[in-house]
Amino acid sequence: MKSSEVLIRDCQSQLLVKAKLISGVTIRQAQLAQTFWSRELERFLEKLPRENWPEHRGWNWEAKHKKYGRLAAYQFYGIECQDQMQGLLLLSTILRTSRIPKQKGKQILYVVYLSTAPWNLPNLTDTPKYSLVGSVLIAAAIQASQDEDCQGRIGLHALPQSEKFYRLCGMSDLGIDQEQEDRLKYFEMTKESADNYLSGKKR
Amino acid sequence: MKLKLTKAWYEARSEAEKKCMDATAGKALTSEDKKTTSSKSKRSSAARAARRTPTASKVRRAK
Repeated sequence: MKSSEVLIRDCQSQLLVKAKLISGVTIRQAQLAQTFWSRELERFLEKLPRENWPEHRGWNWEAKHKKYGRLAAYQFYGIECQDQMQGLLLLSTILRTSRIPKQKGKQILYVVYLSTAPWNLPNLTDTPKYSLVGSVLIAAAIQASQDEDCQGRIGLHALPQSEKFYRLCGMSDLGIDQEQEDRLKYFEMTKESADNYLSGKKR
Repeated sequence: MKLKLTKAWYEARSEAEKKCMDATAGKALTSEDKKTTSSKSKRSSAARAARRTPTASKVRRAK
């Protein structure tokens, strides 16, 4: 497990606060996150109409870690602040190539799962605790892609509630993937958009 | 992994996330919308039930 310092925003004070970006999240950390997250999620769901429930409410990070944690082609990342996991990311380094015609044949990393803690989700609460967690995790995925010589290219299938977020990250919307089980939209980040994203350039 | 993000990056992403949050808030259903949605779903489930359940006259004809 390695960690480096990043910043996330405390939504109450509006200040940027220090957090730890962990690469190589352990099973113990995934278990703890799952325990806290599911308890909080249940609390939020009790108060919310079903149509506002997050689409990823059934995800279980402990189970995901048990399934992928020992495989060399998968990497878990997490953001920890105030001794609590604020977001988790699972990346796959299995060889995949770009689906953008102009980028055909170029290698990409695939974001298998990405989510933030329930208390950070604006569709669950009017007073989320931290923002920027998802943005920093996407930056980590791009950095990992650069480290793996994929030049920042990443791909993912987005749940409908997250499509807007990935568009605002500068990812290209390649439409519904007919071959994907859940018929989700597929998004890709090109080298150019990855460079723009990491440099903070406005689109 | 060495992730170097500048203060300007955090500010730019905060702005982008805010846009995303505003869009999410805009999507939240108003109580009026909820009434419409719920009545629509009730109507469609009633229609589905009607299609599934043969009426007495259809049953008589089939006999």
